[in-house]
Amino acid sequence: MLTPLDQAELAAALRAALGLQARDPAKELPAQVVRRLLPDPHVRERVQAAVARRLAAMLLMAARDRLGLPTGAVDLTPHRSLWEAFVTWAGGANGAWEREVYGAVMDAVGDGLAPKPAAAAAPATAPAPVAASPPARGRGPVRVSPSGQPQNLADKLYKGPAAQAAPPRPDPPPPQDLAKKLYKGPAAQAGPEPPKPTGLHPDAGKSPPNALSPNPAGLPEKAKEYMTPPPDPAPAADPPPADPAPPPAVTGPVWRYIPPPDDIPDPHAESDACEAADPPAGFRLFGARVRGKKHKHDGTHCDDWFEFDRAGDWTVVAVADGAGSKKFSRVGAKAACEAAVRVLAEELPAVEMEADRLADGWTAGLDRPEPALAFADPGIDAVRQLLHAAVNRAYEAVVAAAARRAADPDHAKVLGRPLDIGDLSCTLLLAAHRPVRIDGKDADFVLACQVGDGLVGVVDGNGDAHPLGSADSGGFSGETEFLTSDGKRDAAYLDRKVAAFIGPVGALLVMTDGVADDYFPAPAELGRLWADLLANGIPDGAAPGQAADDGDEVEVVGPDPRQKVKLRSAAAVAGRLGTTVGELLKDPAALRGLGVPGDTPADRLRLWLDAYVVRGSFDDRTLVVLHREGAP
Amino acid sequence: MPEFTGRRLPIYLVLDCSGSMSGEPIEAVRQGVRALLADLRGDPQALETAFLSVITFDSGARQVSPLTELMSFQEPTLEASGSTALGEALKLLELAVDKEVRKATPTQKGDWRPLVFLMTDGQPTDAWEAAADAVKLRKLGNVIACAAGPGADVNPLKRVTEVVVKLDNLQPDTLKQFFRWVSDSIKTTSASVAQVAADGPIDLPPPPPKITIVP
Repeated sequence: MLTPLDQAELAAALRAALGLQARDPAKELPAQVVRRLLPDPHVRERVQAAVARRLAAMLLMAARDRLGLPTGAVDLTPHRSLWEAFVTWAGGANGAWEREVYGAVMDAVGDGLAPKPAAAAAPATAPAPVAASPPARGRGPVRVSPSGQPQNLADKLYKGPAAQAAPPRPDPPPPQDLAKKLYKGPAAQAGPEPPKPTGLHPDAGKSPPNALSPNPAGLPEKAKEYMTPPPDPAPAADPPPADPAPPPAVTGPVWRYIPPPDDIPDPHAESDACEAADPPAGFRLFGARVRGKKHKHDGTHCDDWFEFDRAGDWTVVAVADGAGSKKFSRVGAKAACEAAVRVLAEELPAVEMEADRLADGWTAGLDRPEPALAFADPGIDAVRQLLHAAVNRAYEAVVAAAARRAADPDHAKVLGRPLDIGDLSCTLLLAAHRPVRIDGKDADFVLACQVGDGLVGVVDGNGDAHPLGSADSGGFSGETEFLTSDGKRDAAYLDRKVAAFIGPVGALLVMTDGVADDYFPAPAELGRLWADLLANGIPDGAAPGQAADDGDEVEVVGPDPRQKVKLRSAAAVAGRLGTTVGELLKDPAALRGLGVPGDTPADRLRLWLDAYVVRGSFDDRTLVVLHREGAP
Repeated sequence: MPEFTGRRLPIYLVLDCSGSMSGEPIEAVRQGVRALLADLRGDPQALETAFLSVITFDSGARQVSPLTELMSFQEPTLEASGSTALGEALKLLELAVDKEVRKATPTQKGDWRPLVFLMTDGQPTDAWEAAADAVKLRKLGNVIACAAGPGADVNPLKRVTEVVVKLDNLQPDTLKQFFRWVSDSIKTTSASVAQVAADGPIDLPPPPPKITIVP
């Protein structure tokens, strides 16, 4: 928050930057400008006073330029394009607070317009060129920066429809009227009203005329960009540096970070990362879960959960995603995972399954004749039935967890009504793995079953990816099935949700849709997921001697100061090497580089899950990895 | 610039611009759309996923803004005149959704179910029944209908959707509240769309005082 002192300093800074004398020294309009520039209180809180000062000073310096006021000692070149972006943004967007900001800037400049004598004497003629020394009090239109200028900030920052500079306004009114004039918006300036066609807009169904960059731009971004505090904030009387340092990567409007609440029932930790102490021989087994950006922004809990366990030859993994629309779905996700893993770990070792067969024997055993869809081999089919049982036991655990809370006033207080089973809605993905032999050679058997979205997949020893399950299709997104939905525990349904893998496993990956949706569609994208994990050193850490420092820095949404981490992209590595991710996976040594920091695979996985950025991806992310050491 | 191929949240504003809206009401709607846009642009999640389209209707219906991402969206020109062709508007909505909203395929993530805000201040003046049934039957989207002011007929809207709200009057302040509520609903929805059971109702924030939910 800006303190009164900040506001006074700010006003002084603005006047100094503008070379103006305020009619009313106590006027606090500039602070108001800043407040309106940063309408979100959470954003405002993050902005240090010095930064706000700098931002406002730059903006108002640009305003001076816009009005053709004398440039004085300050080179406005770096700010001109900022101003142009601002003008086109405010004019084109025409939203309520944009107009307010614009109006406030204009008011501030107009009200404080008491130019120095030299400037006042100058004739009002042609617009002054950028950084021109004669103090011409021109009222010229905004001019597009001539070519040969330094970096055009507007182009860089503003890739929206207004990336084209504002059209010159041939005969602008005096400054005092500018705000009102400009504020009529595009409609007022458009002249005769365009004819109204009937029917679909001609552009309907096409991509927007100006497709945006993955980081759509707008003033909030620019604001953010300029929020980077200068190492030595300019004192009030000094103009800001003419050449700001190159801006950091623009990441869009600010995602807030609000810790998970601990004052409501059933709190979950922000994230988890753990590794099995007793993985199957030759493997590492680890997993991590992170709270999605949406939950961080809103201060709500992560809804994902995962569990894994070992029992004899078997490794069992459960991953669940609580329904985003349900306030206690995390409880269901946890209960489901725990119950399913428990029953599988207890009962799988007792299954009599022939694990050493010829290839033909596996093929025959994995046959699933319609309509029953039972596996031809009774041992394999026993595993299938056990997965079905685990789904049902998970459901029973969710029912029990709901029953325990149904009469609890604390839960009812959060919900505004008594809790019921629907409040614990969640998905459930299960995978059971054991080493086997095919034709006398070491290999692996995996059986997976899932209710709802998410993905179980295998990247095999050759680097080929195999999704174990089918994607939903046909409808709108987000219409997922839940463990708690009707009919999802029936054998007839689950039979179609069971899939097997037989062969050498490089990596078994079990994930919620927070990850699966970012790597869609399988199998190609499943391969790219594993390649990205390798490229960031998740399983093995940094590659000694070949620590290529070629990642893109991203900021993790978390407590201030936000952690920055460099992430590598397998696709980028492949591009540099003139090959494909699929080819790299066959011999992944080239993928390796400087890994993300972290002592263990689970820690690195957690950081990577928390850090990678995909537009439109802000769900919780959970991934469990069973990785054969030394395999791709 | 590559087109965004992830899941979008399509939002259709279907706005009555009949003659009875002229004057203060249509100006309030303009301001409402502006405020809505500005508000959503400040929400990082909405900005990444929400795409907006505006369909207006008077004696006919027009899609004045195709489905466009928020930062590229240009505010349409809204003028009030003519009668209330609700049926035409609903037919156009169906066409637009079919054309613009992506369905999931094995290689493409479908868009989230569209969110439709339908506002009218009068009674339909055309044959609207079949179009209303089609929108409801096909579950084209989560439709929130608004009967604005005392002259608005709730019954046709009830035939379009279960979710109908009523505005007491067409005062600028009431309409402003409505658009604020629309904005909140979009933000809530984009928060919860992450997982909504197939036919489950969407969660809407409680409406402000002058807006009542029609049972």
